[in-house]
Amino acid sequence: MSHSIKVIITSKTNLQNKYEKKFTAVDKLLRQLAASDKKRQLDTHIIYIDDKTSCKKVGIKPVAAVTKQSAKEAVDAVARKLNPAYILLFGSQDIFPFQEVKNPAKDDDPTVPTDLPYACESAYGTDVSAYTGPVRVVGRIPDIPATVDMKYLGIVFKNIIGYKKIPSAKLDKYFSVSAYEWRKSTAETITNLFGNAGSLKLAPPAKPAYTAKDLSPLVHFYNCHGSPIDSNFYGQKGKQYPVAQHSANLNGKISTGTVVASECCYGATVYNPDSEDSKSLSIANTYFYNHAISFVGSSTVAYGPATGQGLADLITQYFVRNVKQGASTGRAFLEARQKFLSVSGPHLDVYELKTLAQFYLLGDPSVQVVEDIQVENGADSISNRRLNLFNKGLNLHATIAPSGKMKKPASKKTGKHPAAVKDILRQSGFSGEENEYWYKVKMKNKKMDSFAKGFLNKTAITFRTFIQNKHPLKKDTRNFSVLVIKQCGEEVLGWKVYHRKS
Amino acid sequence: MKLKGKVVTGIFSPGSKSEHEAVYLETEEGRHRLKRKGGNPFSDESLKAFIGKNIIAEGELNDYFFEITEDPEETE
Repeated sequence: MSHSIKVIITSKTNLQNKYEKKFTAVDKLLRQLAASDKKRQLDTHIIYIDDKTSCKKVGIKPVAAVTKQSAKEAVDAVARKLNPAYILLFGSQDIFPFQEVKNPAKDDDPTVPTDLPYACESAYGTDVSAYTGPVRVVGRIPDIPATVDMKYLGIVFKNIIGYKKIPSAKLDKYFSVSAYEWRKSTAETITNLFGNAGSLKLAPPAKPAYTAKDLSPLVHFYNCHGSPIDSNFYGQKGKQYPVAQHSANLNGKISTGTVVASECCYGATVYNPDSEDSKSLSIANTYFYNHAISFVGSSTVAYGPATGQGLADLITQYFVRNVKQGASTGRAFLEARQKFLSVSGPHLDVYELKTLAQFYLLGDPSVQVVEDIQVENGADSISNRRLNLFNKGLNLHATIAPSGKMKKPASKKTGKHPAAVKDILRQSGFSGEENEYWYKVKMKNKKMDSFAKGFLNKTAITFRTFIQNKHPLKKDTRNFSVLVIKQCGEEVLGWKVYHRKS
Repeated sequence: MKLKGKVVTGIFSPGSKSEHEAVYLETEEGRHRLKRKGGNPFSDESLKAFIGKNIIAEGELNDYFFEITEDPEETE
């Protein structure tokens, strides 16, 4: 089997400024990882995008200063030059920037920090609509923002270098905590992944007194609340929001090689611990400090229903399933993104677009957690898989039609709704008087556009969203939060409710 | 820093997984989500006691919250 190419991309200047004399030790860790990759048939290149010598070796131009734009352009140049099977970004946001796209959804996040653009061929920009065709396997090893901690880095690299694949059956057990209010949705996710939800913990009453035995399973899955710069995840029952997990509670209790998926808002953010109220590390950093191998979560406010499956439930679930089936964590996440697009498309509403952007993979994407699963009727090389994923990503980009803001049509300003919409409002517990926003689907493919126009009487497809402005948690009522109606002219094509509370 | 304003409630990120009835401080310059430093960002009974009242509060302003560091004072 021929070797595949892996690249470790980072900034020398930012590492030197942060780690000062310890930079050499950081560089040594990167080289040790590259050397150990040879045993895994990987030719690994360390690329400091702001270092002339390093860039010359791989034939790209060094950047004058590391910015979001120059970082994206450098990753694109590396991808074009080397066609790497794995792209590993090294460092948190103070070393190698997250990209930042404008938040397509109507909520409290102005922007969405994301690694999605690094996985896409489209040029630098801040419109997430350009990034609906992920083709590259990308992950990031986060260091601790604004903190020099060589012990942490030593543990993270030792775990990757020493990682030994395990039988897939070892991922059959799980540790999972869900906000009580979302118990139905989480139970469905956990049953899909593990066959039963018997060990699912609900918060409340669950709280961060979990023992090492509780935390010993190699897959951890959270569906709780999260808050920015906060070392806790929170449960919920009615208006109670007790702490469901706290980063310090994880210390010394995590099994080496743990894989984590978190649906929580801000669930994968890494921050300067000095900025946090209790000076605690982020949950993601703490997992890596305690020998976890991979962590998928969100940078911002996330979406998902309380019952049924959607948005955050899907992308995290696909990731875990792919890891269990033998994919490297990076491929597992790329395939999760592509599957999410396939299932959600061809027309994406703004909540689907935000979900696509906000989830990212932390950890070395080339780590394959479980042993190869033997199949009798064939096998794929890494190169063949990448070719398939590349083609699939390009096809998705060509066919997925994202939506963008539009003015509410003048004819709809009367507040009167057609019968079909009234029916939906009644079924979903909305009044029709909620905050209402309109989005128009932007067709990228002429044939599809022409088919849709012919099929739908030349009228554009729109998403109409109703956002409740009153708190839905009222006893004995069934209320919902965001209603999205897809329509073409007056014809309703479908509708969805996000974050249902019942 | 000190901020002066009226304590009100509002829904944070409706429809999201973070949606909750949040407490805000409405000042002349803008609205800030309130949290006690070290407190629960989703539900804090001690802040709810100030709803509808005008206060002066000492705290730290970041991208997400005005984090109160001392007990607020009620004003007229």
